[in-house]
Amino acid sequence: MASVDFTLQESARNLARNRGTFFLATIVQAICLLLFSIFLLITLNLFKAVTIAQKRIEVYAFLDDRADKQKLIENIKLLRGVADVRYVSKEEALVELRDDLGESAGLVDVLETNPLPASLRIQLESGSKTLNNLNKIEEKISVMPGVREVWSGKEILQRLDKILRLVVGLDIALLIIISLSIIFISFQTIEATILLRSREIEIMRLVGATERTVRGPFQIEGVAQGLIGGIIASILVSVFYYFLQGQLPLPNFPYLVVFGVNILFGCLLGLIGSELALNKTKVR
Amino acid sequence: MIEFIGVTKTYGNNWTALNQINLKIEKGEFVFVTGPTGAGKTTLLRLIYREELPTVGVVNVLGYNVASLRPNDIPNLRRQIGIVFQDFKLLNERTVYENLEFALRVIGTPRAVIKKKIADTLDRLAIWHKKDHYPFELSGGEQQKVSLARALVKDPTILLADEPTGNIDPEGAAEILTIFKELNYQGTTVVMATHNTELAQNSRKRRIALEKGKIFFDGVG
Repeated sequence: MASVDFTLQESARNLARNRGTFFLATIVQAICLLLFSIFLLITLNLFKAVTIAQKRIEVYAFLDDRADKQKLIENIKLLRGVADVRYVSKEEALVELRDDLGESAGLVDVLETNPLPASLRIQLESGSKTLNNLNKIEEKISVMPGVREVWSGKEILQRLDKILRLVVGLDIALLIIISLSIIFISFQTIEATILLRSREIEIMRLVGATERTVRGPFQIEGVAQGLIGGIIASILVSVFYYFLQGQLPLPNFPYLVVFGVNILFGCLLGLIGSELALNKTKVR
Repeated sequence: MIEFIGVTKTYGNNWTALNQINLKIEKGEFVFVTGPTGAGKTTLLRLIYREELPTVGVVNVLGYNVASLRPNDIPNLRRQIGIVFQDFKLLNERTVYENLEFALRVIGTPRAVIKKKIADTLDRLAIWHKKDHYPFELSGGEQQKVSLARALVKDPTILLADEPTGNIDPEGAAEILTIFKELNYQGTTVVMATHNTELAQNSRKRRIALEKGKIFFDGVG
């Protein structure tokens, strides 16, 4: 088998000879990966938003004036997925309302009586904050005696879940389109290089080069294209994100994820493209 | 060393290039394969270095049955065979030295011995002074010498030549033939395909004459 430095040297020779095509193909790959990175970031941030919303989810059980709060607390605590139950009296609810209204708190003083009901704030275990579970808990609490109404943040969760499904669907569609594009670009470039180097390949095979030696430089070219494309895309998206952070309250840029995904993804697709080109041109 | 047992080679369009060939070439022999264009000379050589597979029959080369050779073993067979072509098959963007270096490096020859091997081979063929020239700067005879040098630099057991004198002037052709004879004298088995029957007859070596894919003469003269 030929040495590694020979394979690298031949790859460099390929790149130098085919530099125009290589450069263009790399730029197109970078643009594809940039698009993908943007969607990846949107998805990551959306996932974060959903996680935060999930953490804040509480079930509110509004009580009748004559409700037996102690018994209710005991019964609710027995439900599966319930972590804690806290009683909020009518007075405490009014104080909360004042706090929430801030500068408009004076509006509360207009009221002659306190219209707010006492409530139980039910904290759920982290694994139980799913739509399905919220529905079940809501259903069970609402039929308990003394409970006037039950409210949970499931509508918000439902809306976020819908958006998340849509974005993930778009991600998958985009991932397929981008993957095929990158494979196609890599395939075209490597095929052109193979045709350009058909004499070398013929000689390599005739003198007794192994399959790995013949294919190596082309595989490296495909991987190099993906690697460079991935790095360019990651740099561009991080710059874009940096400017966006000045405008919006975004979390820190996930360097490791973005660089890692782009580079791995680019290299893998580049390699697949080159393998397809090698097989099509029957370089075996 | 080389053995054809009942070999027939038919191509897709039902054209039979070789028909029921039986032959044996011993170690150290010099054999001409003659015949007109389309007689099957090139196919016979291609079967030896496993560029083609027999449709029927067995081809044994250096102990390998080429038809049942695993893809991973093909390089092992080819490393023991030097091949020279009519069109030289040189890399025009590489110098003479680089052409030989390329052939050695792809088969994993250590860097430390490459320079000496190339110097010895080019010196042996009296073209060391052309080492920095590009193929297109050389005459046909010189290009064929470079092609031969590339075949020899890996010390092959068998040398196959497909019309090696076809594209060069008579003087160059005579020189190439002399080199082949010297190589054969030193122990290399040489199989040379040529349409020039006269050249083979004058050499007083074994000649296998093909016509329409069949052997019609096998002997000296």
